[in-house]
Amino acid sequence: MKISDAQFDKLLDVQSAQEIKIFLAQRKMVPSLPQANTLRQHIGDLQNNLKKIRLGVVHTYTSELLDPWLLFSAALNELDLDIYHAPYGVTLQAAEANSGLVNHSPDVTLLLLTKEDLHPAFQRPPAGIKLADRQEIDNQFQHTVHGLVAALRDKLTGQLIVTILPSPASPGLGMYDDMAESSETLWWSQTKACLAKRFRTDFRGVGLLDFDQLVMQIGRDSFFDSRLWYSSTFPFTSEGALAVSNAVTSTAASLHLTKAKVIALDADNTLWGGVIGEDGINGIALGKEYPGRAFVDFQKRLLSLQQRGFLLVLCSKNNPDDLNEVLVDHPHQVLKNEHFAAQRVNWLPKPDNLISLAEELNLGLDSFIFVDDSDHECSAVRHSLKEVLVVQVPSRPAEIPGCLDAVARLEITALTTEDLEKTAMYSQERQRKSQLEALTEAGSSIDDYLLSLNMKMTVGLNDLSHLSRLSQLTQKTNQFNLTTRRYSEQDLAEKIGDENTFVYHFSLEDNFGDSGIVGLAIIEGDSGKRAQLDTFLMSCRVIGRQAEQAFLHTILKDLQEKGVEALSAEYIPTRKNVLVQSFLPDNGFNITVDGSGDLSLAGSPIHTDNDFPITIEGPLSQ
Amino acid sequence: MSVFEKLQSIMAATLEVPANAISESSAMDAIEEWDSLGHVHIMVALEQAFDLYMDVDDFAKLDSVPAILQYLESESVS
Repeated sequence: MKISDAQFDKLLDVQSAQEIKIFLAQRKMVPSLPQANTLRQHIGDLQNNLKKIRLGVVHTYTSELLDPWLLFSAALNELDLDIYHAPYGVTLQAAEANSGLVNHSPDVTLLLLTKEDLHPAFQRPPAGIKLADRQEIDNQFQHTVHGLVAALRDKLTGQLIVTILPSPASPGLGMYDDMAESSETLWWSQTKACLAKRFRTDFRGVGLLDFDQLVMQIGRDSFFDSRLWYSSTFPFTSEGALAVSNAVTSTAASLHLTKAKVIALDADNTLWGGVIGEDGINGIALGKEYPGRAFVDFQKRLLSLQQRGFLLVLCSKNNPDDLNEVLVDHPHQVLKNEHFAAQRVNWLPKPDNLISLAEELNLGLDSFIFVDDSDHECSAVRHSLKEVLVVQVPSRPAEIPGCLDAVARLEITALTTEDLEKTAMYSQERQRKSQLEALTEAGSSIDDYLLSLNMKMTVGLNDLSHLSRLSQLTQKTNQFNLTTRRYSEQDLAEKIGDENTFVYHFSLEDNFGDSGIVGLAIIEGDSGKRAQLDTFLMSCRVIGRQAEQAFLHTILKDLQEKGVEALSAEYIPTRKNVLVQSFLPDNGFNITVDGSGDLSLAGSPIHTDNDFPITIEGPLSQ
Repeated sequence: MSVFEKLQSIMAATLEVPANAISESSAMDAIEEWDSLGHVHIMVALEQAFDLYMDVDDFAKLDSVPAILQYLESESVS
C-alpha cells in the first residue's frame, strides 16, 4: 500500500526505528523513494545509536540502484550502512588480496548473481535442456558458485549472503510445469537445496538468501520491473528492491544487534480476544471461528518462535486462577504452562513485572520484546524501560498473527540444540530453586545443596562440532564475560585451527537435567611459556554452582600439562559485566598496575578436583 | 502546492539535496547528484508521486526540470 501524506505525517511521530519498521509492516505500507529517504533522515535525527556496518556487494547486474533502499531498510534495523560495490561481474578479482572489496573489510558481503552468468546453459530456455544433461550442468553450476564463495570466504571475515536472481518469466511450460517430468521449478528447488547444504557443511558464515521466498511474498509482477531491467540491467521494482533490502539488512541486524531472547506476552486481547475475567472461559475469542482463529494462529506462530529458541513469558494483569484455567482447560489454547519460561500474572505495574522477570531469568531487559494490545501498557513500558522493544498488537484480529514478522531481532542465522531445549532448561532451574528452598528450610547449607545436585562437568577442547553454539555464547553472553569479545563461527574456526590457541568449553549435567554447552574460554599462546586468557565467559544459567571455578581449574591444570608457566588475563568493564569485576583477583591472579592480571602456573595447582561439588571429566579433545 | 513545488520537494528528497538546489530551470548536467543513477531514481520517484506508468523511452528526454514539467502537463498532472 502507498503511504498518503496524512499517514506519512503520522509516521514521522513514531519515535524509534524499530517501531517505525513494525508500523510499516503491520499496515503493509511501502514508502515511495522520496518518502524512504525522508524517513531515513528522520531516523538519523531521532537516534544517534545506529550501528555502523560495512556492506560489500559483488554483482552481475546493476546494484547501485539498490542503495537508497538498502540504506533505508538498514536505518529501520538501527544500522548505518557503508556500502561498497565491487566492479561489475563475477570475476575472482574481487577476492584478491588488495581488491577494493577486501580493503573495505565488509561485515556483510552480498552476492547478487544470476543463473545465466554462472552457467551458459541457462542462457537458453531451461525447458529445452534434456533431463540427461541436467546433472552435469548442475555439477558445473554448483562448482562455479562454490569456487566463487570459497575464494571470497578465504579473504573476507564477515557474513556472506548469496542470492541468485529468479527468472522474471513464468516457467517455459507454463501452468503444466508443475506436472511435467522436466519441471523447471522442481529442478531449481533441488539445485537450491543442494547449494544450501554445501554452504552449511563446507563453510562458516555463508547463507543462501532465497529470492523465490520474496517473490512469493509480494508476487512476481510486483518484484520485477522489466523496463528497468532492459534499460538499466536493474531487475527490481521499488517494492522488490525494498524486499531484497529488508532481507539483507535483517540478516545483518540479527548478526550485529543485541539478540532478542524473551517475548513477554500480555494475555487478554493478545493471546485471545476479549477479557477472561469478564467474558469467562467460554466467552473469549479463541477457536475455529473468526476472530478466535486469528488468535489460534498467533499462538502457533509464538510456539514456532519458542522452538526457534526464544523464551515466552507471560506478563498480564489477570487473576492467576482465571488465566490458568485457559492454559489448562481451554480446548483451543495452543500455549500451555510448559511453554512459558516464567509468568507474572498479577496486578502490579508491567514495567515492575518485566524487571522481576529479567531478574528471574538472569537476562538483560534489552533482550526483551514486550507484546501487548493496550496503548496504556505499551506507553508505560516505552516510557520507563527504554531498552525493551515494544510491539503493540494490532486492533484488527486478522493482522495479529503477522505482527512480529518484521522484528529483525527475532531472525536467527543458526539453530543449536540449546535453543531447542531452552524453555525446559529454565523449568529445570525452577526445580533447582525449589530444592534449594526446601533444603534451606530444613537447615542445610548451600554446600549441601550443591552436593545434592550431583553435578557432572564435561570439558571439551578445540571441538569444531559445536561451533554454532560457541559463537552464539560469545554473541549472547553479557554478564559473566571477562572481555565481551564477540566472535563469528568463522573467527572461532580460525582460532581452533591455530595450534597455539586453545578453545575450551564445558557443559554441566545434574539431577534435573543437562545444561548443554554453557561456558567458553579461549587461551592464546605464543608457543612459549606464556599464554593470554582472551575470553572467559559463562552463561548465567549456571551461575552460583561453582562451575566457573571448576572450569578455570581444569583449564589451568591442562595448560600446566602443556608446559605453560604463566597466564595473563584482563577484565574489560562494560555496562553489564560488573558481576566478574573481581573474578581475576578472587581466583589468584595478581593484578598489575595497568589493571591486567597475572597468574603463575609454575607451582603446584591451587585446587584439586575434589575442591568442587562437581565431578569433572576432560578436557576431551577431538 | 504548484506542480513545480511538488516536483521540487520530490526531487530534493530523492537526490537528498536542499529544495533550493532545484529551480524551475535546473538541468541534469548542472546538479552533481543528478547523475545517471540519480536520474533513474527521479523517474521512479515521479511514477510513485504522480501515479504514472512511464515509458522507458521517455526517461532520456526528461533531463531537465522544464522537460519534466512539460511531460507532467502532457500527462495531465495537476
